[in-house]
This record gives sequence, structure tokens and C-alpha cells, in this order.
Amino acid sequence: MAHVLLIVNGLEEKIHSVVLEILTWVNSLDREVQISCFVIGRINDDLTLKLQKYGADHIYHSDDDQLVLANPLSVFKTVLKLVDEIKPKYVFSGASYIEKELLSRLAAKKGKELFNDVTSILMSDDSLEIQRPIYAGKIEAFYKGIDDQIYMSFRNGIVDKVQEKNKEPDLQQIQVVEDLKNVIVNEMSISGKKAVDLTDAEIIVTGGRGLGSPENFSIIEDLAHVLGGTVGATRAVVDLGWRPYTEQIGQTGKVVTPKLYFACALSGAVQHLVGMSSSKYVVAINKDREAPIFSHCDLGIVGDVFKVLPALTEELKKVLNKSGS
Amino acid sequence: MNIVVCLKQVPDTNSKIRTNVDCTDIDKSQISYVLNPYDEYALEAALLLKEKYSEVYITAITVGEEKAVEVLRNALALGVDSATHVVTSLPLDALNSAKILSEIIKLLKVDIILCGRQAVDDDAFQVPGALSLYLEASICSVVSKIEVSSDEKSLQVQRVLESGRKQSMTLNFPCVLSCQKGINNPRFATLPGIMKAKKKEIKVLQATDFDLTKSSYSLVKMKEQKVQRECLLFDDDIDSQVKEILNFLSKETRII
Repeated sequence: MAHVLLIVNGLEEKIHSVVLEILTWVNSLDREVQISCFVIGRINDDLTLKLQKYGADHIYHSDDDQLVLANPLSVFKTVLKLVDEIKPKYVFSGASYIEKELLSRLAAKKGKELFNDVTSILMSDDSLEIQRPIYAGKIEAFYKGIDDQIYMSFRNGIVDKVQEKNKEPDLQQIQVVEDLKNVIVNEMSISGKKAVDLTDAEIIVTGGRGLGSPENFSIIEDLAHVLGGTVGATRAVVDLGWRPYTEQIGQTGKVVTPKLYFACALSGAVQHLVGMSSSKYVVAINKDREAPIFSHCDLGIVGDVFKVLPALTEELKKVLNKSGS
Repeated sequence: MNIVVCLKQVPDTNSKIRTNVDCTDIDKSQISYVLNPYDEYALEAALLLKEKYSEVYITAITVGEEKAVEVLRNALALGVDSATHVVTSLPLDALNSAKILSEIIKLLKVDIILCGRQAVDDDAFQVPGALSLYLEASICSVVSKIEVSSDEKSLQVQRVLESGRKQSMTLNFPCVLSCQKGINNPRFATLPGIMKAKKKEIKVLQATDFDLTKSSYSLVKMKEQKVQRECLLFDDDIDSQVKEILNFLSKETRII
């Protein structure tokens, strides 16, 4: 029976969508699999319930501060010990910084292959065909091979998450292997606002340089707010200091996969397109009919964002209030 | 302080990337090359440390084709002290690159190793982690702030996670940092710097002289990413445009 070790980032005390997608996918495989989850952070009832509903067999966790602080070396040594004990054939995680850094060290330690940001995978007998974007998503690369252990981090959107198994996972306190000789985490701040991580967002409203000033982003924020979405930004506006880097979408920012993407007052530079082209639906609003973004959207509005967005936000308020009452 | 910056030459992010005829690699004929954008931050971080502290020695290392020497010339022009070029005609995977870098760095007695967050060609996000493991060094990825402690034996670093959380750490030397965008504003080389760099010697090594391992997985094919969208364009009055969007949101996306 194949054993999967799934690294779960629980630092936000909730589960990222990609973890549930991985569980769904593994459980849908036509073979017997055992899934062990290792939680970075602290578990809570909601987190364990989700893992249970999506079919985890074992949950390894600890209250140790080193996991809550995500100390890179302590987490590494703890997971390495677990890998040596349970000898998983597959070590999976979501594609966030902390997990990718962890996997890069584990794979190097074990001399095994690591594929980050995987978007699709085909399993036949024991060989795997793996698909991942390279050149910032301008190219899809396909790899094939076979080995007794492999490491992979996945992007959101590999499968639709489905609660299909309801297992009774056993919760196991794990002994953290502390390594504080060389790395000490002094502080892990609480995330400023309860902002949704862009890579997890279902709806994103992005503004570009065409907005003219940081203050004008209020029309972007208003639309995002009424839709329950998250604000994104282009490299240009981040470089101008109008918006924080955490909001940047594109080649040197985040790659996002929302259900709905609003591209407002942005031209659609190739570096931006690679960050958002996997969105399910794209609506673009720009006054320049020739803007490249209009070749990469489902609905294009040639118009003035300062008129269209406020009007749209007002209409949405009416519609959404009506259906809510 | 002894610092190493790991640099990689990559296709310009403005380039259109196409596959070759048999879809096994990219078509390199139309591409211009630049220093990996994240490595610019690593290089600038090293130069800033050199400006602020006395007795800082910076070595730049690149593993790449013959023409990758350009990134080293540029680094020398900006003020790094020495440069090593590991020449390879074939692209190496992350583990082999990290192996080569670690073997060179081991001989240098290095305190700080600076890399970019990831190279924007293979987007592997693996070299800094693997390098830290081979060197038994401490690690912090996606660093956005670096400060040297008063005894000059450790660093205070900060990174911002995807959630917006800030994590602050103390890392003892030797340590590997991968630099995130926003950490600094990379400078440009000056003409006198460029002239001086022309005369500086670059150490050349061959990748084939290192003990390389073969991966159990191989690249079988590449495909150009093409998202075909049927775009409907509307340029009539505001009211009808808003109506079109609302219609789209309810009928197509079913969000409202």
C-alpha cells in the first residue's frame, strides 16, 4: 500500500484549498493509499474535522512552539524523522514558500526528485507523469519517471475538492526535534487584516496603473468588497509604491487561479498575463481598445473604469442585497 | 564577512517563449538573456553589506553556458571582488546546480550565501534549500529584510509569508538566504565600473569536472501555454456595459 505524507500548512488555523484538493485526488486513485498529514502550526477542531472529512488516515501534530513559529530547521528535522519512520512513497504539500523550502531540503537530503508548483499528475502503475509550469507559465513542462520516493508541491486547482471519504483519523502528538542552535524565530506576526491569501481567493479584482493614483484604488476595493473578493495589483503599481508587494500578480509576484478575475485599468503585459491566465473567467475593463488584455478575457469592456466600476458596484449592491433578504 | 552571491542568466521576462520543433526545449534563437530578476536583489543585498561593513569580500558564482559570463562581468562592474563561472553546455537540474555551488563554496569559508527567490526559467525554487542542506547552513527563503548583528556572526532577517504574516529570525553564519522582491532597489553599473570589470579575471571551471547525478525523472515534452478565450467586446454606453457584466456574472460565472 502506497503511503502519502501530506504537509499541511496550518499557520493560519485553517486549511488551504489545495490541501483538500490533494486529499480528494489521492482518495480518488484506483488503489489503496494511506494518507498521513503533518501539520505545521497548531491543530484545532475545524482543521481536524476538515482533514477527517476529506479522508486523512493519520494526523501528526504538536503544540510545540517551534511548529507554530515555523522554525525552518526544527520543522525540517521533525519531518525528516517522520519520513524515516513511515517511509512515504509520496511527500506532498501545497506550493507556499514554507512548504517549498521544506521540501527542497528534504528532497536534497534524500537525494530524490522534487517538483514544485505541480498542476497535473498522471499515475500509471508506479510511473508518474507530472505537469508543471516553467518560464512563469509560458511553457508547460511534462516529466516522466519512476522512483521509490518523490516530493511534490501542488498549485491550487488540480481537481475540484470533494468531501468523499469520512475517515476516523488517529491524532498523534509528535515529538518535535528542536534545532535552535543556528536558527531562532523571534517573531511570527499575526496577519494584519483578515485578508484572503490571493492564491486561495475565489474572486480577485485587480487594478493597474490606469487608476492614476493610490487613492483611486478605492473603486477597486469597493468592488472587491461587494463581491467578497480580494484586491490584486500589477507590477507597475507595486513598483510605484501604490500597493504592497503581497498583492502583486504576475511573473515576479503571485500566480492566481480564481473563479473570477477582474482586470481593471491594466494593459495586460505578458508578465501580468502569466500570473492570471489560469483564472476561470476574466472580465477586463480598459479604455484602450487595443490593450492586450482584451485578447485574454471572456468579457471585455472598452470604457472608463471610473464610471463603469462605481456603477457596477452600486448595481451589485442592489442585486446582492435583494437575493440576501 | 565573506559573501557568495549565486547568479543565473535567464531569458528576459519580456521575451515570448516558444518551444523548439520537437517540443523538447525552448527555441533559443529569438531570446535575449538577462540576470534573473530575483538574483538582482541578492546581488544588491551583497553590495549594500559591502558598503556598510568593512572587510566584506564578495564572490559571484554562476553555473551556465558560455554567454552567462555576461552576468559575472556585470557583477564585477557593480563591485563584487571575484567571479567564478562554471561552464556547462547542458542545462543542469536544481540538485546538480546546488551540488556544484556547494562544492565551490565549501572551499571559500563563507558566512553568507545570497540567492534569488527562484530562477524565472525553470522556476524550481530548490537551489537555496538544497544548497543550505549540502553546506549544513541555516536557511531563510523569500527574505525581505537583512540586518547584521553587532558581533557580525549572525543575521536578523525578516520575510513576509503569502498570508501577509511577517516572520523574523536570527540566523547564525553560515547561512543561505533567498531574496524576495522588495528587499532593495538594485543599482545599475557605471561606465567606469564596466571599463574596470573588463580587465578583471574570471575563474572558469567545467561542470563536467564535478560529480553529477542523473535524475530518475526526465523531461519528456514541453508545450506552449495557450489559453484561448472567446472575448466579447463591448464599447457602448455605461448602462449597457454594466448590464453586460451583471449578465455575465449571473449567466456564465453564476457568482450572483
